Amino acid sequence: MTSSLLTTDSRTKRRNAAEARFRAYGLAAIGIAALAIVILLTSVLTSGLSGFRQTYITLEIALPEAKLDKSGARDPAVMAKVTTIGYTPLLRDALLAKMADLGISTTASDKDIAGMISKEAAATLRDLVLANPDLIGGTVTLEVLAEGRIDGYFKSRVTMESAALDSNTSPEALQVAQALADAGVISTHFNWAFLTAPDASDQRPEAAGLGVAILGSLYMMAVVLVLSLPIGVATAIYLEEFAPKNRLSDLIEVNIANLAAVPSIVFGILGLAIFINFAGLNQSSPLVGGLVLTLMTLPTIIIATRAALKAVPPSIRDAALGVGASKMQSVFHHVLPLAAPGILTGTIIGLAQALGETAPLLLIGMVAFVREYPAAYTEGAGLFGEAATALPVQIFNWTQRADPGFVERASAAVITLLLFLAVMNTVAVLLRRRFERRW
Amino acid sequence: MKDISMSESPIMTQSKISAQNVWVRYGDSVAINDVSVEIAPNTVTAFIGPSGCGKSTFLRCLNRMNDTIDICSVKGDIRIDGEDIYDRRVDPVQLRAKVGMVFQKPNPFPKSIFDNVAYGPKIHGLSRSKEDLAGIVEGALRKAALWNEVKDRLHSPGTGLSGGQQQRLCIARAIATAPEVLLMDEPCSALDPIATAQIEELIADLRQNYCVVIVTHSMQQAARISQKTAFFHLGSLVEYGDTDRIFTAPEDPRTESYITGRIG
Amino acid sequence: MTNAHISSAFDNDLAAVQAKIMKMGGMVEDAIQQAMTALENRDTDLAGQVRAADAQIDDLEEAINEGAARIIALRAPTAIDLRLVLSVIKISGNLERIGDYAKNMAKRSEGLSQGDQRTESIGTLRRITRSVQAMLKDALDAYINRDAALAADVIARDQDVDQMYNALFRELLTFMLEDPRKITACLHLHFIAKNTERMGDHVTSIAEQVIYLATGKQPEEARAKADTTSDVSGV
Repeated sequence: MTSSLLTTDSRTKRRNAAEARFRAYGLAAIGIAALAIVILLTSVLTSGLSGFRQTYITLEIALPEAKLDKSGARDPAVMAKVTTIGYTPLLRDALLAKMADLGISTTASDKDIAGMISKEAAATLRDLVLANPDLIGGTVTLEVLAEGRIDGYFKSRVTMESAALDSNTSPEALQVAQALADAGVISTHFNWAFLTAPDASDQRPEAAGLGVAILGSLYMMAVVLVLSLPIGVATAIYLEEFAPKNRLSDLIEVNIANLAAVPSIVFGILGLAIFINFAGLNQSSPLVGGLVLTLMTLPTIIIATRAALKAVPPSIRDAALGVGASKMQSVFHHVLPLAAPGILTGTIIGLAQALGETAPLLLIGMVAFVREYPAAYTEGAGLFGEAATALPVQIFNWTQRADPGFVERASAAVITLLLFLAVMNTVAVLLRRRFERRW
Repeated sequence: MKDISMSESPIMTQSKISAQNVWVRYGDSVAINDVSVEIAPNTVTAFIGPSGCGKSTFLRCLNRMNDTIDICSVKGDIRIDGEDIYDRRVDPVQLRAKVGMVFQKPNPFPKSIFDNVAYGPKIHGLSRSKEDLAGIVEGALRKAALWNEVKDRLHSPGTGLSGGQQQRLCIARAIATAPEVLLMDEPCSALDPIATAQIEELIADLRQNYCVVIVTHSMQQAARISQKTAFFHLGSLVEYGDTDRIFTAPEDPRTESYITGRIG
Repeated sequence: MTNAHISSAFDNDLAAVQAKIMKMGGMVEDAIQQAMTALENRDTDLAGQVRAADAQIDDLEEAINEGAARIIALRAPTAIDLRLVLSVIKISGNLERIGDYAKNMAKRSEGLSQGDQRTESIGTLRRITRSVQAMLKDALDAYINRDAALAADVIARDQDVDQMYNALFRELLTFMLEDPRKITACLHLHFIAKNTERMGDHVTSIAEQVIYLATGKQPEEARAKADTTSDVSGV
């Protein structure tokens, strides 16, 4: 006799229980993943967000002619002979004058007070004066960088206790800083300079910026995009649509799939051997970096494009051929537009991967400490031949440095990198949605 | 071994398509086994036979679609209007403008209705101006009995039509290049009975201007719409003749078995 | 070619309708035999039986037509199946007419039994009837076996039947001219003879259907008509 449908038998109960358990595992896994993301983001954000804000001191700096331009000719070439050492006392004097104005007294030594200003500030001032010689003789109001320890104090990295043990600052200096902050002379606010300034030396974390690194990465991405997209898509089209199906093309297909799994550092060695040693290109230039990353990204793009092409139903190709289109017309007029979403997604994934690659770039020498924007960039001309660095390399670089200020910098750079990746992925999703068609 | 039974009526006009001793192999296996057939102009010829008998393969020889399959080799003489279509000088692309094809599952391009029909004339350079092209598109849609249903939405996507309309769109697309022969590979098998009847009615009209060759699984369909029927079995052409005679008194027992449903 | 359809229901339908034809043929053969016996023995009871049995023959014809219509509607028969169904319809019509003639023969035998009859004429009549019976049997055999040759032979034998009828006609005419008191009887006999001759024509029609069924072609020569009795010049 058949049993009633309204009662579940034990087999059904066990099966339902197994399904429920499986679902629970899945939810648990998602929960753990979410937790991991939260932890990652929290740690990165807490240590890095402060990097986007910087402490500045607003000073009125007197620019006496006697010290800066004895000749009086206002000739930058001549004035350039005065190095930053000549400008440093000006800043110190301005600060001391400010303190006197505000009636802040302290037991800290003048050296300590002068040490509140970043050593970078002198260079900034010098650049300003050389660019505008007519400022000499007057006073200029400038916002200058505060020194790293002062900056750290306002970001709660440096405390009175640690300052007592620190050779770069003292608790008295911190008190002065606090007083100045209360008076409104020192302020901590968002600094664009983090993103635009070039890197700075080990002792000056406050001045270190991502400018060169970002530009280097952008140029490399441009090289990768311009080279790998056409080559990769064309290769995939050829292999998928035109190549005869024989052992050779099977071999090529296997090799491409394997290339996608090759460790990226091997590509670095390849780049070193071919581009730098053999072809003699400039070491550590974005061109070489871009070429190496292109080689790395090509297999990803080829595989994604092939998958996208395979996904286009053969009925579309048949329809095009039946109407009298040639093979190329059918591929380029019909198959490619339908495969576009998949190709785009693959490309952007490849690009995002390349953006974050460090190992091959280290190998071709992009560890260069690049202090200035290379002339080629600012002019917009040049063939990417100047030395540069990239975002992930810069991050790696900063984590190697001793000064604790660089910890914050590195974390902030990681945030920047993550932002770029998020933007790229969002662009991928949007483009994919726009091009998606149903057939 | 003579497999072919010709019809009693003499061939008055020259054949549109003339195939002699055609062999088709996929690698080592033989798909078409020494088939010879003469197809007359302005007639509907039906190819019937069980699955895997080679009728679709033979159909695809007529517009060289088998060229796209690497392991397929075609031997023999196939002539359209007396010209050997496998001659070295013949460009398959040009051939396919002259010999149109409609497939089993409607496959409009994912473009607008207008672009679907206009694509063929565009790539073959058949129109001199935009008005010309619009005229060609309208003509093709009218001939395919679709114009009245879509004239107000020529720029909406072709994939938004119903199954029967999509197939008529594919027919319009095929006839937009002004072909002389229309090949149809089971065009109604994916459609409901009413859409099927509309397409069959359309095929009866198309016969006035085109030579139509249709592969079909449905013997009733072959009986309804064709004037001549060819029965294929295991790669050979078993019998070819007037449709009414094939369905009332076929000569070959294999034909009779298949038609009456005695073997698969 | 194997004889069974993939669809066994189709085979069953065809078999059922053919079985009915064979049954009808058997019943008609019996009817002819009984009518002849009733005539010879002046057995009015037997004659009544023949007339009653004709109703069953008519019912069978109706059933066969229905069955054939059903097969056409549901199975869309082609080629030999189509010819089979078409021939079944026509053959059942012919058999029904033959059955009617047998019934008429039985009716008239009641009329004859009251009067005088000529034994020679009865003899000729018996020969004609035997011929027709043999033709019918052969036609039905040809149908079962799809034997076109046998059917052609049956068609040819109709000539003999026609000639025998001509001879009987002249004989009866002579008798009627000799002795006007025999006119009633002779007229009855004549009608019976005419019926028998018509039976032969219908059997010929059955044989023609068999040829169409077996070969798909209509029989080639036009059926030869040897009945010259409508030509009344010069008796």
